[in-house]
Amino acid sequence: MTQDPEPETGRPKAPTEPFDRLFMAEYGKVVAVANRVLADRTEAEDVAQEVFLDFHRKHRSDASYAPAWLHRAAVHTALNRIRSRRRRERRELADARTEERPVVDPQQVVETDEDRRLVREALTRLPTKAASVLALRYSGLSYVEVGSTLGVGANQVGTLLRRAEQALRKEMTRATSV
Amino acid sequence: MRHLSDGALRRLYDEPYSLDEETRAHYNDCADCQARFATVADDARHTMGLLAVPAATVDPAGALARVKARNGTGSGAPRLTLVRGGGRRLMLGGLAAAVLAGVMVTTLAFTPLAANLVKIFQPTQVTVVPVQASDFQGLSAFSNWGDVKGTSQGQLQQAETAAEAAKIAGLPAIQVDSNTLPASLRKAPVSYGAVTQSSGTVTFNDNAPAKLRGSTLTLVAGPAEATLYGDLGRLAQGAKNAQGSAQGGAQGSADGTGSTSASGGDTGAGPSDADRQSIQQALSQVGPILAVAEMKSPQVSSTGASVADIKSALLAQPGLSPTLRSAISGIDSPSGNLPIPIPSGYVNSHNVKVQGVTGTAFGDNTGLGSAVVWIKGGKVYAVAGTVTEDQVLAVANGVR
Repeated sequence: MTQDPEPETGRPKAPTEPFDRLFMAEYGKVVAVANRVLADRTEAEDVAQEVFLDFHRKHRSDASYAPAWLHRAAVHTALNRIRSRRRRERRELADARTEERPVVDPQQVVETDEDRRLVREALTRLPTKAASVLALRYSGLSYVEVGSTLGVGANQVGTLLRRAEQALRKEMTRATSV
Repeated sequence: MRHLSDGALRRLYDEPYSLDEETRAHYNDCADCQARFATVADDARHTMGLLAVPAATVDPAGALARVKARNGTGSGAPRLTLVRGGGRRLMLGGLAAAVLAGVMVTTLAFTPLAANLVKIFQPTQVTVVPVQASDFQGLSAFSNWGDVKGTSQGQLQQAETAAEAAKIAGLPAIQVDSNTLPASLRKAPVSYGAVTQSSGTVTFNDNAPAKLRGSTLTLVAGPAEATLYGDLGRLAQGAKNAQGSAQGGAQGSADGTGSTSASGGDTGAGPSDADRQSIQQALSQVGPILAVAEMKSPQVSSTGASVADIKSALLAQPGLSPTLRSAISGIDSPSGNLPIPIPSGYVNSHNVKVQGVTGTAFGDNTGLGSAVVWIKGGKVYAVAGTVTEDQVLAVANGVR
């Protein structure tokens, strides 16, 4: 067999490990996706690192589907964190009532935080695909990237996004009218 | 022209240049679409406010160091584990996909050529394109553009030795380094086969875009030869079961003559979950097999239309998915990437180095199904079987 010439990529040499390259390329996006769901940068970074480690345990770093897998996992893990957080807060609230601890000034917990909490809870009540398309798109991923992550064509992303926005608005209206 | 859908209007808000000229022209003249766009834009801005969060500035290098420390791997990347939680079904899904990949390559081999035509495409590298049924919807018009004729059908022939198979195919004999074979296959029965060249033509008719009309494409594939390690009887039974079980998905056949062939159904749609399970069950009965195949790289020649003309005509079709659009754009002329459509969700694929060139590996690194395809020296090579990717690669690198 004759040897075909190896194409020259001209790309920077470092980082050299496939894992390093994947991490450096995608970490910011994965944190952004998780942060959009959690509204908590520290927890978002924790989610991102968990997601990368999970990917490493199960897949090859140079797999073509790696970015889509990481983005999807970031949304799901972050949504699960909110659900867990909600359960924990309920327990803590119950504990606080029984212990009759002094409550922090409610005005201090400011409306912004309360709004964010309501939005995050509304996200968890949406179908996962709807919550995902919102988190992914509003994290700055392109329609092509969002489509790749969700396994749909980019042309369908607009439709999913539109429906998800309407569903979120409805959930927020319901939450604030209670 | 119909009004823009809500989805199209939503995309227009984010990516105003994503719409084609005709759609944009309609929007510019349509008060109804513009009014609906205003509502869509209002909702988008409202949602943006709801989902607003403080920006997260990150330090990827520092985070990478922390992840490595957390994983206890020091400066190197963690080594992959070979078995993951997807289970048997996932592994067999990989095998089914690897079979389908082989099908696509085989199908490509059954296409013709005429010596007096201008060669417009002969691939030197393969690229995997994950596709869904919806990806092909935009190409529905293409089926009416041309009249297709098969000019010669490849003949499958059994051979007693690799040398005989090579003689039939007119190719150098496949030489596999026995030391690279997995232990489970070193004493397995070995079969040989060859397929003669196949060819066919597509003549563009009056339904085709003006630049293509009257041109004839001649497609040639093969000849090919293959060496197969494993029990052909079990393979034939397993393939028959798969064929009987899958209605819309893959069909496999093995005739006991030393080579296997398979033909995909609607590879864009892929089988249903039930079909997939049936295929997987059938394939699980096959037992250890490994096939090494060599085929002359497929060629496309044309009496007029160039690759650029064909690409331009296809890309002008409305409704092409980004995946298919990218795949079509990726076809280089006269040599370059050969996109191989793979049903989305079936298979993991990635580039690998094989014999100094870039190839594509399919399947799972779990032992039940892997394949690698590469092009070198004007020939397409494939190694596939019920073994791990590492084992397939070892054999591939030992092929002479």
